[in-house]
Amino acid sequence: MSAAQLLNPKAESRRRGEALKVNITAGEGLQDVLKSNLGPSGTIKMLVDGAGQIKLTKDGNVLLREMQIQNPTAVMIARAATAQDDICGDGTTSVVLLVGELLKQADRHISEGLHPRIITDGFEIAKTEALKFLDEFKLPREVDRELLLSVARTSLATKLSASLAQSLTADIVDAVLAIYQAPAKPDLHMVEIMTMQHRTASDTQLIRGLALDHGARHPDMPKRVENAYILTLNVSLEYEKSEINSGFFYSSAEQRDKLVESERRFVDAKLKKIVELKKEVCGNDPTKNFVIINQKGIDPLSLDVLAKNGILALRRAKRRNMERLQLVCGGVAQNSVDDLSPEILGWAGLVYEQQLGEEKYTFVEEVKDPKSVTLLIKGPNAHTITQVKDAVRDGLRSVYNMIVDKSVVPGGGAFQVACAAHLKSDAFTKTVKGKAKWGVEAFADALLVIPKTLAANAGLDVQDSLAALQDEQAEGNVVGLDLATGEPMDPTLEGVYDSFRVLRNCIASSASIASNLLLCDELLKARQMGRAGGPGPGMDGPDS
Amino acid sequence: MHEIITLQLGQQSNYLATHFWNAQESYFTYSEDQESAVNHDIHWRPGIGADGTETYMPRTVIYDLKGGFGSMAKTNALYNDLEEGQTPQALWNGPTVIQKQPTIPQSAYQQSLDAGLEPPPLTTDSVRYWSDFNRVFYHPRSVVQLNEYELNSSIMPFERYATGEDLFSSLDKEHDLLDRDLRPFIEEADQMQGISVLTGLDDAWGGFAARYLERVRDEYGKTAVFVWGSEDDVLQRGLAVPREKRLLRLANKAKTLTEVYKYASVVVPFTVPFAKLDPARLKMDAGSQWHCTALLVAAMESVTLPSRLRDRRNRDTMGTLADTLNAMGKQNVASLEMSFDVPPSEEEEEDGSKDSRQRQLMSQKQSGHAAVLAKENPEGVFLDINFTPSDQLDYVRRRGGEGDDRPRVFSQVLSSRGYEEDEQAKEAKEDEEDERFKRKSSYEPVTRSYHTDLRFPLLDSFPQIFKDDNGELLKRGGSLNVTSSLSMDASVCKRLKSLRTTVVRSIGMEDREQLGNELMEMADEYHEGWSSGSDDGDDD
Repeated sequence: MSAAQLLNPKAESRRRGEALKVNITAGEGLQDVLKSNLGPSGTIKMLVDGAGQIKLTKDGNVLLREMQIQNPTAVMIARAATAQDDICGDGTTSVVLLVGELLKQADRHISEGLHPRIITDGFEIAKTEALKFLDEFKLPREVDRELLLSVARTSLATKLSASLAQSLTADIVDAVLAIYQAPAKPDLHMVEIMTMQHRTASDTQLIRGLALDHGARHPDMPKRVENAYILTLNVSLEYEKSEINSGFFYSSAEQRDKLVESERRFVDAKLKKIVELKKEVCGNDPTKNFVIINQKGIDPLSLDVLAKNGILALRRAKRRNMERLQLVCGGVAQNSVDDLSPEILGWAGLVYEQQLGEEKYTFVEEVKDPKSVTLLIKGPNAHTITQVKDAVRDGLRSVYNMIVDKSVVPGGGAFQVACAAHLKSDAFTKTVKGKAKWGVEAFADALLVIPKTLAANAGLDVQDSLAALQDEQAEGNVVGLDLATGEPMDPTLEGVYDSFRVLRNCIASSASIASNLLLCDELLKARQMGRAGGPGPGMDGPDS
Repeated sequence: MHEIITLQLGQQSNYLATHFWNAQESYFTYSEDQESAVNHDIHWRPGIGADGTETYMPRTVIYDLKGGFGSMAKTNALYNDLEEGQTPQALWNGPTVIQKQPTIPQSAYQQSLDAGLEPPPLTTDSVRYWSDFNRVFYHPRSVVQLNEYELNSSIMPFERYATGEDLFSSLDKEHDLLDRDLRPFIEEADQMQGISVLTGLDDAWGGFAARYLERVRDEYGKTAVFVWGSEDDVLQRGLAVPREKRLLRLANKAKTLTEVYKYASVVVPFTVPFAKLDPARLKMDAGSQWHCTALLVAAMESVTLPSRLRDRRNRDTMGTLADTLNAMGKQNVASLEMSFDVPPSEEEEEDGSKDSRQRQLMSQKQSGHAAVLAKENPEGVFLDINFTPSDQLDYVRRRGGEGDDRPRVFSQVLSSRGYEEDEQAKEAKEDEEDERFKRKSSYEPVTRSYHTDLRFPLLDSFPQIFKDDNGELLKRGGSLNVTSSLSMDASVCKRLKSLRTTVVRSIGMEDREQLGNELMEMADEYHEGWSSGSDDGDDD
């Protein structure tokens, strides 16, 4: 009986070997589920939930988040793996595979009597060395459009069909380049991702401007204007009660009505200032137009006033669009109408509205030198849109990673093969003393799960491919696996790149999750001790 | 105009809201010559479905955990974008693997609704999820499943205030939840009168709600925000929940209250007071969320009715209701009460030969008309069922009549429905109109009363919990006279102080002092009289 069972006789306990077995099986189980996803020739998963809702995804991160996982160990691994995605945008599947494989390799040694602690010591040494090796292995590069295209293509090719990936690549890279103002890190929030469900159209385009998911709320407002001054506003144009509006302060109903009226005048005064500004900049020139995009509300009476003055006005814009608008069409967002002047206005060559079913969209285009852009994803149904959207996100992140890291890592399993060889090289093994070297060995073998799985998913002979890779690597070349032929290839020539920070995080986190699971020597499941029953004293604890 | 947007956070709130929407749906009238007493545009939005048909759906955003939606999918028949029997095509050249979770079969009730048949009566066993008794179609944008946590998971339970806070922060950072989920509904509203938030108060949803409300307040300035914080009083429900879990719930509540208080116009903590229910009038299954939330909704739906009525005399916006309640300026924790009566059946009304003794009995019974009650009880009206949670950590048998203490009432909003509007009632209402904008004596509460003929509907999706005068369960399809009230009273002071005493020791050192002080500050706002010193002597 374990100690915990002495305290709570109903607790379920699994100890040492048994606990380890449970953890290892869970790790492998999760690995099996995700294994077939890896790489550009893996399978796509169709997730069907309890309500029959369908989701298509190739992304390990999406899969782990949406699947129902019952096993506690698997939940832990999944959590850590999805954290990987939060940090660097990709690599979830790799983490799960690596954790599973580390556990599997460790199991081999443990069954021969090696203590888990010794193995994890070896993991630690190997991890540190692998990260050091990665630092040497990466290729420092300057930001360059051609290179970024390769990076984005590598990422997208694992999530979408080849033709679609190809067409998206340039849009994604150009989007990030448009918002990138060196030396500051690009703020990906300045790339708006807008989706549009369209029965027939299915494409994605880069809009050098802003797309908003709402339109004017007044029938008389223009649907399309050219040569438009843009006023970015965060001012309420709704009748609002004043701060002090309690029933106490009026002695009669008339007095109350008067107050309401004066409130209305307050809104009217704001509108007047805006209309005056419009007259000042547009004069009587019919080719000049005026557009308001407001973060706050505009009530029907105010819309009416604006419409009569030929102004196109949008209300309740997204918070981030205030920032984006300034980057797209210039101007300065206003929090009050006190400092209105022509200088604070932005400009756009074309603003137009499009309606699809009940959804309205407004496009602000033909602007000068936008520092914020929009990726518009069109698809015939929600499934397709989500799939593209997820892939676009990952693609953006991969480009971002390259820009921030200022380096890339040759892909196609090149790093894993080289690192495994390095960990097993005489030069390094000499420095590892004692039993920990089996841990290092297990770690090196586990790394190879990535090229092996890539080969298996491509329908290649795993041993043949791996042997070919290792032979070529032993010659001192950097080699990745060509999934079409099964032959070794030079990743830099083919333009297959992994992201440095994805690999770094992947190694660090899988090693620590695996170690934690290996060191776990008792699993407890508490059962509640209280008894069911009606309300009443004596449930537990003394009555008071 | 005067739209209300609803925000539903968590399983318990969704049970509540489902009853609420079912009731709203029942107010629809389909013929030209009938006009409903309720202005539907306040809670419902017109739209266009996938095939171009017009739709009318709740202005609401529903959040629940993975598995919380039961058999309800995000897209419904009106917004389905796939042809019948068509399977979605993946944008992928390789093979597709299907990963299927066990299907949750539709409840028989839902199947009958879909097929247009008479649905079988619901029982506590046939209601597994709130979607099982739901009669309404929601817009796909209303349905938001949070995949980070699973419903009722013992591996990663969603039960701590901090867990909810963290979840909101991480999601908001990535997606800007307010802009993504709530804003589209607010954008289409011409002049929103307020936001009605339903949330759990004593679980992780409290933390989620607190952070959500902070953002709402930030973005929508002066908008009236009502927070309906439902608590699961596990002690009174008689569930075997360990003491530490009960303490955790109370600690969650304390934290949620002190946060939500800052952003909401009115906060209503409420739960089913099982120990105080009269078994002669109510039959409830304490283990069923369907039952518990049904009683709560009868009160909540009735008291908010004035915000959506057409009748100008009995209508006020949420903002006005909040101003009435928060007459002192810094009080916003309200208590919810209700009474109900079985209306005379039509035969009884027509049947003149009715036993005269019984008729006498009927007429003797006090009218529940709000205006009359308010006039007859100038120091505040107390109704039969008070939903304010007891906040007890351990079960204490009541000594003497705790319920008999009548705390001082500062302000009150009363709403009655169904009762006969006789001469007396009209007179009382007119008196109130005259007094409306005048300051009353400092001891009398600020009171508003509202009345409508529209009774509370007992739908087939609603459990049979109410009993008539003979102890028989009321049949489905009938209706109920209800009086309900929201009031600010002095009892809040004592409650907050005792909550503070209970939980303060379980809070980590770093937050303890702050939480304790905030609760004390809140409590002081409800102090009777003007002295601010603590004379209750329960300082620790």
